[in-house]
Amino acid sequence: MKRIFSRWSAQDLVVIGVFAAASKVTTLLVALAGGGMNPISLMGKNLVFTMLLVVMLCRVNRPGTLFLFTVINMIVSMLLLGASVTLLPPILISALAAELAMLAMRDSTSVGTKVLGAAVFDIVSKVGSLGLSWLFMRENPAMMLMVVPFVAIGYLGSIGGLFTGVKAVKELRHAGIIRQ
Amino acid sequence: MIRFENVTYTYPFAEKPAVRGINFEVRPGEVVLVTGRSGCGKSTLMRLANGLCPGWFKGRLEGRVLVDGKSTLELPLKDMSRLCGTLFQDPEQQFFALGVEDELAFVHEWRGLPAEETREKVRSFARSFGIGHILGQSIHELSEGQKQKVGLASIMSQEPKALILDEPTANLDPESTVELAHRLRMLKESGMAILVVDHRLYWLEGVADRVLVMKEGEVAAQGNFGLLKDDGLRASCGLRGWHVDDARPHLPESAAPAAESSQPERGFRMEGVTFAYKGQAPIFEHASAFLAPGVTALIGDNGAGKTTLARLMTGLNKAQSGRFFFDGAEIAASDLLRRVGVVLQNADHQLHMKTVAQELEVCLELAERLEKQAAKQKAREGREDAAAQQCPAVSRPRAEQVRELLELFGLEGLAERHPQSLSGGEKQRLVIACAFAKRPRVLILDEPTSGLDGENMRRIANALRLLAEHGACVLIITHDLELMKLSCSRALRLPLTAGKNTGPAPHNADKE
Amino acid sequence: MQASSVSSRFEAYAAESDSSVKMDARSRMAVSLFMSAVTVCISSVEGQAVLLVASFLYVLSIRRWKAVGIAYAFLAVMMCIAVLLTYGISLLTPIMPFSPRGIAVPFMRSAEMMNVVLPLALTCRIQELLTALKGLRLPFCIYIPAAVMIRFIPTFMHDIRQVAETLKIRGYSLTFGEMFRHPLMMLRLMFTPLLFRSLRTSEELGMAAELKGLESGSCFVPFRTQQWAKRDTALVLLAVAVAALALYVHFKFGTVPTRGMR
Repeated sequence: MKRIFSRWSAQDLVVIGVFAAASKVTTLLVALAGGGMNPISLMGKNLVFTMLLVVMLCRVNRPGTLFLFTVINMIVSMLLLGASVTLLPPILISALAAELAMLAMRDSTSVGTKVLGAAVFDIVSKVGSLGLSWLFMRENPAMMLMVVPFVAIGYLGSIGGLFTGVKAVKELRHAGIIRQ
Repeated sequence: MIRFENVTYTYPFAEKPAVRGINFEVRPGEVVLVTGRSGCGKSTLMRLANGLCPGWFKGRLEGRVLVDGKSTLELPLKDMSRLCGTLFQDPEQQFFALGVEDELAFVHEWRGLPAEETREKVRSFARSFGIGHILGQSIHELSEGQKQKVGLASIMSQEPKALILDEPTANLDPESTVELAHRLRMLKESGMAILVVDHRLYWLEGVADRVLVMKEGEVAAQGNFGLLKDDGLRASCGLRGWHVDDARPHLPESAAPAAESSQPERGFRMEGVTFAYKGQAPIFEHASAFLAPGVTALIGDNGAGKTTLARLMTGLNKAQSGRFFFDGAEIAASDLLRRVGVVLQNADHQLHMKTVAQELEVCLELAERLEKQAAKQKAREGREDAAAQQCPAVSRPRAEQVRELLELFGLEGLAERHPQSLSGGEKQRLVIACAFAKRPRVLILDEPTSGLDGENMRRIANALRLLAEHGACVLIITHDLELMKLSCSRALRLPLTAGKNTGPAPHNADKE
Repeated sequence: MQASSVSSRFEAYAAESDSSVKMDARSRMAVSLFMSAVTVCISSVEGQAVLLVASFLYVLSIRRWKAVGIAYAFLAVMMCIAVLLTYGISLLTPIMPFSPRGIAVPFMRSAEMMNVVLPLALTCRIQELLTALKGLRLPFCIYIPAAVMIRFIPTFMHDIRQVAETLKIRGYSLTFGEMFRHPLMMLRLMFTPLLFRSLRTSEELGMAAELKGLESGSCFVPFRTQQWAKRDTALVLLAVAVAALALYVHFKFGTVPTRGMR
């Protein structure tokens, strides 16, 4: 256990922390600015989150990055923003699934692998949040019909985020900020 | 203490070395100043001294850099940091905590010092740096001078033998600069070896024992402070002045023309402005100010409301009461933003596009759109736009205008570069060029030359003068005494009082 | 720009003084964790009612009437929409009949979760959050990024406000309509500077971390920690007692809504 914890450099940890802050602030602001439930802001916040995720994964080329990012995000969200702890299990399972998917790829450092990781994270977390909704609303299945469109719209934003993530990485390379 | 022996260093992915054949030494109790044009290799020199090159940046190092007799290649960065402390240009960027006390304790907590010892260190260094009264504050509430003291106290509490300062005065007001010089003198007397990398030179007169002038990665000249008095050397290496007089007390007040003047009023006026932040005492109460065409310096102590005044003049903050006039004609506060240009401090926040040329093109397009909107509004109201006659909308091709702006700010070769890949000085010039694209009647600039070398500082001063000659009112908020001396012809001093800086009611005070 | 008001609202909210009894963040987290497990297990209105009353008293104890009021108003709006929609669905699909009890339980759960997370979020001021994290004795690889995240949330809020102002100065229209018409362009304009800023900040802070001698395996000794007090133990025990009572009521008197499951 100690070996897992001790192989991170301060530099990588700082990048994860900064991106966790950036993603939290941007998604919060997009959601609040658009009124939370409107489809554009729902898509926008998922798009920005996934884009930042792809860029961060390209910046910190290390297995476990996504999992750590998720843990940090959840701890701070819980303490500061009142995120529900019930979200923790599906999100952690999504992060683990994404890590395994990235590890399974032959070239674990390519942008394609990072995009795959973000895609797996997005889809599993969306399925997980539907499962969680079912747990909370199982007494009234009709309510699930209301949740599904919102999750689906959010997922469309996540798919858009994968493309913008790749575009952002290209732009960062053009600017000389990411080199691989 | 810090010794460079025939050092040549090349960054990864770079074709040629950033610095070549460097030999010098900083002995205990000595202050050495490294200066030169932007991109001359000063920062690389600093990174070599604290081990970041090649420890962090990787790359290829030839020759040896020794700190306290040990090669930086042999020492891990963690151990290097105990020998040699580094203070960045923006100390806030190296803070890990949100509170001052937590920041001072941070390093010691992670070094495993017993809690009582950490508390004692925090107390004693806060006392010696005079920051005891701000220990409970958030780092976001501090002035630049206070941030620097916190950063320096945090470094000194680790008791290093050498200290490296990266452009320490770039964000400091003249008073804090004098205080820093005094502190460096004290540290020098205590035997500390100090390496200062800076564009501003005057404040180190009597402090620096030796000066290294860099040019294109090599040491162009080395000697005592007197070396900087050579005008030829300063011109060829793009340096700032070695001695700067404080122009602030001598600048005439920015006042409106006398009541009996037959000339129509020219310039920007605000009258009876009252403003307070929510739940706080008013910063301005029935305050008035006048800006004539030309370059005016906005002078006031920290916290006097310089930035707030600039925000009120641009319409970014809404005054609780007050009126605004252009050339004697009243303008609604909601229209101010369309007529006033502002250059905020952080250039990074103001660049959005993929190339430098695109950035300028978009600004020109938006400016044209604003002008068209204004013209339409005037047409609806059946009035002619006197202002538009003074600054006629330019109908030349946009590409030509972009080229002119690039030339004016010395950015010709960078048109296809990504704006975020530019150096700090280049970005600064680009955002000012973007503000020029708006052809503003009033342009307000917040610290436009912090961190710029002499050549680029003069370039900006010239551009501002040129804009002023075309009838614009330029207001500069700056701590840069050299810029003030070069470009400002008058001053607007804070605090503003009711009736001050203002003449009688305007001749043609029709509602615009 | 709405984002700027959102940002200032957030900062004001984060900086508001805490007038309630000071509790350790760990005890509040434990209550939150415990409640989330219990609320999922109980599906009867009676059992949920016990949890709702107890958690409501808990949220009132922080004495942040306005914030709690806003949260409940939001929940009420959501509930009204849900009632209308599920009623509509029940008319269209007879296999999903409308049942007031069926709709009550999910919303009671939501209210309970809100009641236990609000005390955590509203009493944990951003500046004290690091002290709370220190108290959790997290390993280096979790503490450092979490500390950095907390450190940069206010900075990025401020940055976004500045970016929005810059866009206004340039002449962009930042209205809701414009965002609706050109969402991608708006996202680019707002967030490109932030993306670059994040990367630059992480580079500079990473260097600073190295220069401060931070590395994994360092022995961390906090110079100030929040103390676990008797009242924290009492809070956790009280939560356990309430959960036990709720489970007892659920199994003894509980009526599970139609189509629901235990």
